[in-house]
Amino acid sequence: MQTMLAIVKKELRTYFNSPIAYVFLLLFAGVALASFFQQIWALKQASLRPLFDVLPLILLLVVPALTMRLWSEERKLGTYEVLMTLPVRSIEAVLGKFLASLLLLALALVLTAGAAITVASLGPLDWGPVAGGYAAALFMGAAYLAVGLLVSAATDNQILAFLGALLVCFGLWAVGEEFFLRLWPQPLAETLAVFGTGARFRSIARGVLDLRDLVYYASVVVVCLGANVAILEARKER
Amino acid sequence: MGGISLRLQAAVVVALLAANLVALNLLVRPANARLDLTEERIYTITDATRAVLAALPDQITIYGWFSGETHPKLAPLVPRIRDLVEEYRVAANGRVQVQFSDPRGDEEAEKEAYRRFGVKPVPLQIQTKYEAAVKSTYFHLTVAYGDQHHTLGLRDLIEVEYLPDGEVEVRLANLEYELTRAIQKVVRSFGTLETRLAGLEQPVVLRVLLTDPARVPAGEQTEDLRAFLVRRKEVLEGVVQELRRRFTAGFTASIEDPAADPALAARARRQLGVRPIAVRLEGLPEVWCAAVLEHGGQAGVIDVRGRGTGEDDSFAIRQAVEAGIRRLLPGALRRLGIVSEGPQLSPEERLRMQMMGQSPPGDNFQTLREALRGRFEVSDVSLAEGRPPLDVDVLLVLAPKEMTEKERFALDQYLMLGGRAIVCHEAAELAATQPRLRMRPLETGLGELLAAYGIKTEKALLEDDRNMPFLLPVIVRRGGEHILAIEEVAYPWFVEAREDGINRDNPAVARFDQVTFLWPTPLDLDLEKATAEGARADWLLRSSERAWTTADLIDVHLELQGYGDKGYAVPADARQRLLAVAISGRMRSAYRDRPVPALAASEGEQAAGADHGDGSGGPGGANGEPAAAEHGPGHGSPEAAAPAAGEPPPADEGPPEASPVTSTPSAAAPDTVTPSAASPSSVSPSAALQEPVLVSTDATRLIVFGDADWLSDLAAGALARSGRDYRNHVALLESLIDWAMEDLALLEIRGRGGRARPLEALDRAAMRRIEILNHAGPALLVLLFGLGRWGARRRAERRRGTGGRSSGPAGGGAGSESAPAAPGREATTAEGAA
Repeated sequence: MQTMLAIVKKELRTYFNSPIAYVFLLLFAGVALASFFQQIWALKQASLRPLFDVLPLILLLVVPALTMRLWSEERKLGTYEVLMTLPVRSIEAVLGKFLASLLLLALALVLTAGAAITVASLGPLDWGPVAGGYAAALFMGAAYLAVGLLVSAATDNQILAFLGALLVCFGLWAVGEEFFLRLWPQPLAETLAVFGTGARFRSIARGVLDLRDLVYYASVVVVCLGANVAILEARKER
Repeated sequence: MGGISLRLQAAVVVALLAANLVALNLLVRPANARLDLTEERIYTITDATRAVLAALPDQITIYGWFSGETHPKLAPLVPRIRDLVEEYRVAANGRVQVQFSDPRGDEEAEKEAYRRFGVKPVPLQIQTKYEAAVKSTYFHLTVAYGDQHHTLGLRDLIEVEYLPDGEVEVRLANLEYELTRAIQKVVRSFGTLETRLAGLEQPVVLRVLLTDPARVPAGEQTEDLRAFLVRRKEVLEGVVQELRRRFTAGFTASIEDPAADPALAARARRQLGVRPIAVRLEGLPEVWCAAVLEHGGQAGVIDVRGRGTGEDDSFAIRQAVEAGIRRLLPGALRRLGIVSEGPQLSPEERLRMQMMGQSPPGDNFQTLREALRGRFEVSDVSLAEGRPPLDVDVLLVLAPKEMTEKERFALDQYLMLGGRAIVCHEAAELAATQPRLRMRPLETGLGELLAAYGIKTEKALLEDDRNMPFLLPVIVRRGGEHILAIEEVAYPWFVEAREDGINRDNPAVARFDQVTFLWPTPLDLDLEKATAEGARADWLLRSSERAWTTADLIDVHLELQGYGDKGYAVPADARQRLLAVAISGRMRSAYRDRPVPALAASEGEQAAGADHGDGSGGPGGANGEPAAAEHGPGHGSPEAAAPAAGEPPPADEGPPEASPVTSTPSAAAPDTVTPSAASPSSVSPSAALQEPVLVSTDATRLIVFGDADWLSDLAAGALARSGRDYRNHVALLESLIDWAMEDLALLEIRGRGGRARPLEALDRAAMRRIEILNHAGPALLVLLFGLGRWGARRRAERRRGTGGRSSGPAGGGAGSESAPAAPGREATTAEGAA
C-alpha cells in the first residue's frame, strides 16, 4: 500500500515536472469547454449534455496520450529493468501508475466545473445528470487508462503504444455503436452492444447509475490491469 | 523456453480474466439495480407502467423509426426517446423487444414499414451545412403485438410551443404516458379475456357475498325475503359455475356468507365498500347480496341483486362480471360511455355518408370522439330505460336535452353503484352566428339532480374579463386608406380559466395552464349537501374575480364600441365563480327524498318476482311496521316503481315502452316508494330489495362542468384560430378520466418531467464574457500551479547547491517517505534515471 502510494506520488510528480500534465490539462479543459459553449447558447436549456456529448471523444484521444509513456518509456530508457530488481510488487507498480493517471484525469474534469456553475447560475440545473456525467467520464476514463497502460506495457515504442491504445479504445467504443451493430444480425448485435463503452457512458451521463454499467467498467479495468501485472510477472521471471 | 511458457501462462491468465469479464457482463445483463439521480426521477418509469409491462401476456415489439438526418430541433429528442424505450425493455424482463431503424434510402424497409404499420415519413424543412430542403423524415414509434399495432407519430411524440419572439420550442411530449397507453391499447385489443386471465400470475377472485336463505327464519314476514335469497342463490350458483367453466385459469369464484363469518363481513364493509341490504327485522341476520372482484390489491363491486336487467338475469350478471374483470386487469383499455344529443351512427354508416358526399348528422362532439377513440373504448350510451350503464368505466354526459326522469334515475344509480361520471351542463347553446351571435336556452334536465348532489346551477351565462379574444375582421383607416385587418376583441363570454383559476391541489388539473369555456354557465358548490355522506367536494376550475352573470340567454353579440377599448364593462358586483367542480366518495342519492320513476314492468320481476310474488298488497303492508303503511297498498300495481310484491311478468311482455309509467311528482305519493335511509328498520324486506341505492360507494366520482362547448367541434375551430390548442382540452378530459378511474399513477406520469429548464437569455456580449471567464479560469489555475511548482523546484535545487538533476524530481517530500520505497520511486520515473 505504502509502496503503491509512493509510486502514485512519483508518477504525479513526473507528470507535473514535465509539460505533459499542463498541456494535457489545458487541452482537455479548453476543447471540452469550447465545444460546450458552442452548443449551450443554441440549446437554451439548463443542461450539461453538450459537454458530456463530447467527452467520450476527447477521452478517446487524450487518454492514450497520457498512458503511452507509462511503461514504454521505462522500457526504452532501461529503468524498467531497475524497477524489476526492486522489492516492488508488480501489482503495486501497476496500480500506482493507474491511480496517478486517474487522478490527473479527475483534475482535468474538475477544470470543466465552470460549465456546471455557469449553467446553474443561469437556469434550474438538474444536478443529478451532472453528477452522473462526471461519474461516467471518470469510469470511461478509468477503462481507457487501463487499456492504455496495458498497451504501453506491451511495447517499448511510445508511438505504437499511443496508436495501439487508441485503436483498442476505439474498438471498445465502436462495438456498441449503431453503425457497427447494424452490420450484425439482431441477436448477435444485442450481445455485442453489451460491450460498447459509448452506450454505457450515455446511460450514466443522463443521470442513471446502473449496476451493470459499473460492473462493465470495473471489469474492463480489472482485466487490463490484471493482464498488465501478468506481463510484468512474465518478464520478471525471464 | 521458460520465458515462452511463462508468456503462455500469462496469456492464459489474461484470457481467463477476459472470459470472466464477458461472462460477468452477460450475467448481470438482466439485473436491474439502478439509481436515478435526476431531480424528478424522469428515468425511472412509474409503477403504473411497470404494472402494465408485468401484465404483458407475451412479447411485444417497439419499433422506432427515426431518420438519421432530421430537423435540428428534433435530433436531440431522439436519444431521449431511445433512453425511455430502453427503460421499458429493461423493466419488461424480456417481454419487450426493441428495434430502432431508419428506413430511409432502403426501399424495401420503407415499403415494409408502410405496409405493416402504415408508417410513412413526414415532410420536414431541414437545413444542413450543404443544403436546405424539405425532406421526408421518420419520427415514429410503433408498438406491435400479434396483429395489433399502434403508432405514435410526430404529433404524439413532441410538443411545439410558439414563443412570443417568433421562435419555436420543441419538447418531448409525455412519452411514458403515450407509450404506456399505446401498449395498453394493443394488448387490450389483442387478447381475449380467457387468454389474458390465463397469463396472470395471481388469479382474479370473485367473491359472491350472499346470505344463506336457510339462515332466514321462516315466517310470513320473511317469506319473500327467503324466496328472494333462494332465487338469488340459484342464479348466482349458476353464474359461478358458468364462469368457472369459461375461465379455467387465472380465475377463482366462490359464494360466501358474511352473515356467518364476521371477519368477512367486516372486511367487506371496510375494505371492499360493500354493505348489507338495509333490511332490519327483529331476529334477521344481515342480508348480503353482492359480489366483489379482487385482483392485485384492487377491488370492484358488482351488482348481483338482479335489478335493472330485463334480459336473462344470469347473463346480465355474467356480463357485469366480465366487465369488472376487464376493468381490474392492468393494461385494460377504459370504456368510456358518451351520453349526448343527436342521432348515433355507426362508423360504417358515417363513412358511407361521407363517401357519398353527405355530411353525416351528429352532435357537436365528433372531434372529441375521434381524439378519444385511440385511448378509450368509446361507445354511445342511452339511459332511456332507466338502467345504469354498468359496463362503462366512465360516463361522459355532454349537454343532453331535457333528460327524462328515467334517464336521471339511471345516472343517479350509476353514480350510487360506484360509477364515475363527467357531466357537462350548460344553460344555452349557440343558435346563430349571422347576422348577430345568438344563443338559445338549453334545458338539460340536469339542474335538479345536480342540486341534490350539492352543485347549484343557474339559468344564466357567465362573463369574465379574463377571456379569450374573438378575432374580428375590421376596417381600419391608416394614412387615409382603408385596410382590412384582423383585430382581437375581448369577448367576455369566452371565459378562460388560468392562473388562479386552476386548482393546483387537484392532480388532475394542476398541470394545465389554460382552459377556455365558450358561453359557460356558473356553478356553485353547496359543500354541506355535497359532503353530507362523507364525500369530498372541491372546485377544479373557476373564473377570475372580474366575472359576472347575465340572465340574457340569447344575445351574446359583442358591441365593439361602448366602454373604452372594450365592448363591455365589468360591473361592481363581479366575483369569482366556479366553472368545474368534483365530488369524490360517498354521495347521497338524489332519490333519497324524491320519487323513483317507474321502470318497465318487466324490471326486477324476472329476478325475484316470480318466486315471491303473491299478487296482493305484499308483506310490506302486512308486516305491521308503522312506516310500512306509506308504501303498502300502492305496491299492488305492477307498474309501481319498486314493485316489491309485483306480479309475475305477463308472458307477452312487450318492449319496455309498453308500460312506461313514469311517476310524475303529483302522482308520486301513492305509486312510489319513498325510502328513507334514516330509518332502515322501517323498510320492509322485500321493498328494500328493489330500492334504489341511496348512498354511493367510495369509488364514486362526479365531475361537473358549467359548459359543454369547450369540448365541441366549435371549440376545436375557435381555439385554433386564437392560437390555443384544442388538444389541451382533450388532454384535460383524459386527465380527469384518469383521476376518476383513480389511475393516479398514470396521472403521475402525466404530471412528471414537465419541468422546463430554460437557460436565462443573455446578449452576445454577456455570452462572450462568460465563455472567456470559463476558459481563462482553468487555464490560469493550471499555469499558476505550474509556475509555482517550477519556482519551488528552482529554490529547492538552489538550496541543495549541487546538481539536483538526479534528486530533483524527488522534491522536498523525499525525507518523509519510507525508505524501502525510495529507490523504487527513483527507478519508476523516467527522470530519475535521466
